[in-house]
Amino acid sequence: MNEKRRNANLVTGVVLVSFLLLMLIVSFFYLPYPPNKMDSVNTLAMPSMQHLLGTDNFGRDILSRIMKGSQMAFGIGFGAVLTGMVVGVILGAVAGYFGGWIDEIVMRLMDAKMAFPGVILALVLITVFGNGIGNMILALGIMSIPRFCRMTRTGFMQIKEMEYIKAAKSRGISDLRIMIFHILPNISSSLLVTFTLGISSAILSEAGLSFLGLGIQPPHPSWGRMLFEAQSYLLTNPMYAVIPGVMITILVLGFNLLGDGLRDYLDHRMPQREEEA
Amino acid sequence: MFWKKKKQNLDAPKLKIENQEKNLKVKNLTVTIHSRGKDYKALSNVEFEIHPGQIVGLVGESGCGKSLTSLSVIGLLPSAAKIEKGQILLNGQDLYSLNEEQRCTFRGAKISMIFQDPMSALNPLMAVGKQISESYRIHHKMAGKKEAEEKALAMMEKVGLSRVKELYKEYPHQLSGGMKQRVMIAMALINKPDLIIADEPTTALDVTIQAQILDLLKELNEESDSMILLISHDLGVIREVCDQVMVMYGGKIVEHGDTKKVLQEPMHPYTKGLLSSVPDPEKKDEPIFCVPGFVESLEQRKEEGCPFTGRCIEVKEECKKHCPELKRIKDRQVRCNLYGGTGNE
Repeated sequence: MNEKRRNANLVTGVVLVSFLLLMLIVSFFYLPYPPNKMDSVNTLAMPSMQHLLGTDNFGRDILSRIMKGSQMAFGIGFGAVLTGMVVGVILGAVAGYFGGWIDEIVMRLMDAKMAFPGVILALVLITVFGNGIGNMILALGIMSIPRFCRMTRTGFMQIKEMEYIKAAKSRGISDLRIMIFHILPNISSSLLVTFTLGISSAILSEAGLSFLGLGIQPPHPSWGRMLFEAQSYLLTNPMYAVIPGVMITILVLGFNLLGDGLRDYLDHRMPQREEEA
Repeated sequence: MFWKKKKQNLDAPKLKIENQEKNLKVKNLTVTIHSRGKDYKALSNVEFEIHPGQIVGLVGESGCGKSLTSLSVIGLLPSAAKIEKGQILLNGQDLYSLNEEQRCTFRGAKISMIFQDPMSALNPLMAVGKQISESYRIHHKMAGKKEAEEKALAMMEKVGLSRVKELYKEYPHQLSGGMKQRVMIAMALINKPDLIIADEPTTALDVTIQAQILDLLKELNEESDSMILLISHDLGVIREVCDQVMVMYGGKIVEHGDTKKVLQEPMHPYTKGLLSSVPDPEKKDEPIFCVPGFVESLEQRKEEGCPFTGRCIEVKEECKKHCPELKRIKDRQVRCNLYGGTGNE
């Protein structure tokens, strides 16, 4: 019974995410209309055969903009979480493996980072360094460092005490090699889960920042930005606001379910492995 | 530490390679353990030598300092432990005068270790063959992947593993306990070390596999003329393979001599106690003898007097005040007030 529910998480997550991925892939080869092409006759049109999801206040095709916007969402989501993961894993690994004062410094830094609201940090960074996709990725990346750092540190602290790490040391294997080849693979499954969950929160933050007008600048289509622009036309064409909202929901839900499902799946598989031994 | 690595690599360790006399000398080794603001002596004045071709056994109950001795030799003491004084010389080279980087070149190449539990001493996420060849490549920087793989395969065959080609790619959970211990031995031997420390290598194995593994160790030792320090609490194992035996109690060596002689007529009351605690099929209706009391924890240990005082059946008044030196008596060394007067000489 329990197992079925777990699988349901994973399956739903996979379905939702692959739907989005499919859209992303298609968007590179085919868009119904150029995403920035305006049509002043056909503004705020409801869905029709011509414009499957209708048009916005400039008469731009919403479907095309949603598809183009998925490139942004995925690019920023992956970019930010990847940046956060690389930095977080390195810091966490060093802190967890060596311990002592290095650990103390890294962890206090992370505490400071966590005590600081992420959105405000991103606002500050964007105000100082200016608007742009690169800065956006950097800001969101910094926001996701602590979760990777803490997770990696805990994993390293646990696994460095294992007998086989002592055995590896007794064979004269260097610390760096032990960290990369002997400890890191052991936490890769938890990293994968954190990565998946991190993507949804990064994309949510991106949408939030774009909604505030701080993220992606027009005319680039971004889901958060579209939501912001649709505010004024809620009564004229509700579809304009609903569609980006639904997309963001699908994406966040999809990645969250995928992350949860993966965690259960991997956790579930772990003891089985030991039983085989 | 890791960021200093580059620099140290440049001025490569100049180790004494000439003066090639193979032996291990542990001199006056005293190790303290720091706990709750105080230092406790966990090992005091441990002194022994091992020569090529010898297998030396180290016996004692848990908590007597056997593992600490072996960890000091390989240089992997836990951070709370500190070498207070003494020297460990391998082939004349003082291991504790080396820096961490240089010691890494000793570990695995000149000294290697076989661990107690092969189930947990192999990395579960790395194919066993790769773990063996990794050990080879670490110490043979010029060796390519192919060469290392060939060496590993040859070594796997030598330790009695069959169908090595497939085994090379298998993961630890696919192997049986005995196979895993053979893999561990292959890993320990691949660099032809001078000294092998075997920390209870057969404790986690079935009795039938135990005998095979011990025979293998003995055979390989004769063949390569290496030195083995075998730690065990199983006197049967010691009797089977060791040339010499050291009995440890409370961080001190209490008896050291030829295995046959020590086990046949033990002199120290602790050795006697250990020997009579071995179950004997001929006395199966009698309760098994055991040494009364427990090993005192570090905190309880007194500075003066013989550490065995509280449990000794032949205890004398002077034992409480004075712990004798390790004295040469007939064919062995014994640390006990029962022999040779007050023994301060």
